[in-house]
Amino acid sequence: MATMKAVVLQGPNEVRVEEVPKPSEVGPTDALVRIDRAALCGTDLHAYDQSMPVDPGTIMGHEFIGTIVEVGSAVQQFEPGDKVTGACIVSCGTCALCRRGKSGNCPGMRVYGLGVAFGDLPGVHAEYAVTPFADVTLRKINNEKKAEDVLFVGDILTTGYEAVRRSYQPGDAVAIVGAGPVGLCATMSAVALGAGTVAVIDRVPERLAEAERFGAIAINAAETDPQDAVFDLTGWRGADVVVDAVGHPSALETAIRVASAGASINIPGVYIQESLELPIGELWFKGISVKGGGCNLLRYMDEVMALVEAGRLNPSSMISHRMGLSEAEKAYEMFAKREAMKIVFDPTK
Amino acid sequence: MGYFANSAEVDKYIGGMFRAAADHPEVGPQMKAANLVMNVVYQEPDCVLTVVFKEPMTVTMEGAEYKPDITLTMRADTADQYWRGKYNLAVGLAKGQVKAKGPVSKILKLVPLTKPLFPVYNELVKEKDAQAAS
Ligand SMILES: NC(=O)c1ccc[n+]([C@@H]2O[C@H](COP(=O)([O-])OP(=O)(O)OC[C@H]3O[C@@H](n4cnc5c(N)ncnc54)[C@H](O)[C@@H]3O)[C@@H](O)[C@H]2O)c1
Ligand SMILES: [Zn+2]
Ligand SMILES: [Zn+2]
Repeated sequence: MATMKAVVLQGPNEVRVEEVPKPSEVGPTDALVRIDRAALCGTDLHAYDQSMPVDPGTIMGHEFIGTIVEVGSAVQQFEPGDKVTGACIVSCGTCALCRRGKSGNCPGMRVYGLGVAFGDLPGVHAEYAVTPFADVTLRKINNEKKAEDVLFVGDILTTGYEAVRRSYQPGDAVAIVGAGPVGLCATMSAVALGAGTVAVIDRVPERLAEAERFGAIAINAAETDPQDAVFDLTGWRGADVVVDAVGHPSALETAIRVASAGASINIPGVYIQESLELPIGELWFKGISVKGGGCNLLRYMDEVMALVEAGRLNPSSMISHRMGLSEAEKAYEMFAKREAMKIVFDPTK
Repeated sequence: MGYFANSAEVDKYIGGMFRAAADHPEVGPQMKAANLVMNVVYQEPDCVLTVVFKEPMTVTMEGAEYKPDITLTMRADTADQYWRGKYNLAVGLAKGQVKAKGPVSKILKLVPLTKPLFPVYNELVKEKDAQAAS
């Protein structure tokens, strides 16, 4: 039996690079993809540290670009040799929710590398992966020079983009809590969309410096009160669009405090806790809307792809480390310690 | 020049009114029960009045050590007009002459407590008005 290298979850904070069977079953709507590059994402860490219970034995990873090796009999848009990326959340594209642009809530939704709870879909930190609903979830890379930027279209870039775009009007003041990769993707999206003030709040100076590089005003929450800073920037109105790109109650509290009346707070950051205390009077009186959830990738991926291929979104500049897949154990450790902003794997090494 | 010559006058009249409010039979207990800190940042003269709505209520100028729950900013003349009962706060907020920051639900509970203080303030400034007129 043919085998391949893959990063396999062992238990809390432990992954191992193993030889596993190369996937051989390609269903009618599937494509088999050779993974050319894959990236490590904050969501992988939820599985890695088991804050989200994922079964050991799972092949990790969900951000990738690759080359089609084989397509199922019903696939129309792709053929072997095509360079592609794919939505990390695999939705059917045909159910009632998908048809209305809510693919992140597709009842049949699956995520690569998150185990049985998310549809038992083997991840892309491997040499090969099977991508279901290929016509719906994959996107062709037209401009290969942009391949490393496209790597982020199937997940964090579109996630950050949606967090701004879904409730955005031109000229809005946008405040982003968290300058991790997702927050930075929201930052560059807000700038590309033509936002007014774009303010980014974090406590880590290096991450804030990145945000400034993408055109934002950096606010260090360790030094200034974020509400004071955002209010000063907006004539005491607050931000029209607020993004919680962290997923921690302290970040949500900040998000609510910097929001203007009538604002939208969008929360790509993952909340796993069952309940939280919220200042409902504040949210109600100010008419603030709050939205979370997995990204509706199918709705926004094409917009993002167009902006990437036109050079208006350049997420590859966040890549801090390029490593061979065989170094994955070390890479996961570094990433969990936040020693790396973004790590990209080369599965051939 | 504005109505108040300096920050000491802001303290004497507006601050004085809040000090009197602590003993006001109607609003005093409600203000002490609010359990929050308010900063009002005035312009012309530039100064900051801090009111601690707690038991005991304290009213201080500048350099207060408290972190405010609510911050308001306006010209001192605007405040003077407001406390005389001659300035509509909603219009001021819409024009941007008055700006507010902090939980709306708390601000909405405090605002109604101010109206019974209009006579208190008018009483306090009577003597200053008379001086100005002569
Ligand atoms: N909804 C989706 O579809 C989707 C997709 C991808 C990632 N995510 C999630 O987005 C979140 C962020 O991912 P990431 O890779 O950017 O994570 P990250 O951990 O690298 O970044 C988080 C950043 O927030 C900062 N931070 C923490 N607490 C803060 C606070 N109270 N105020 C301000 N800044 C604070 C940290 O310093 C860090 O820079 C994760 O929860 C991830 O799982 C969601
Ligand atoms: Zn991800
Ligand atoms: Zn669906």
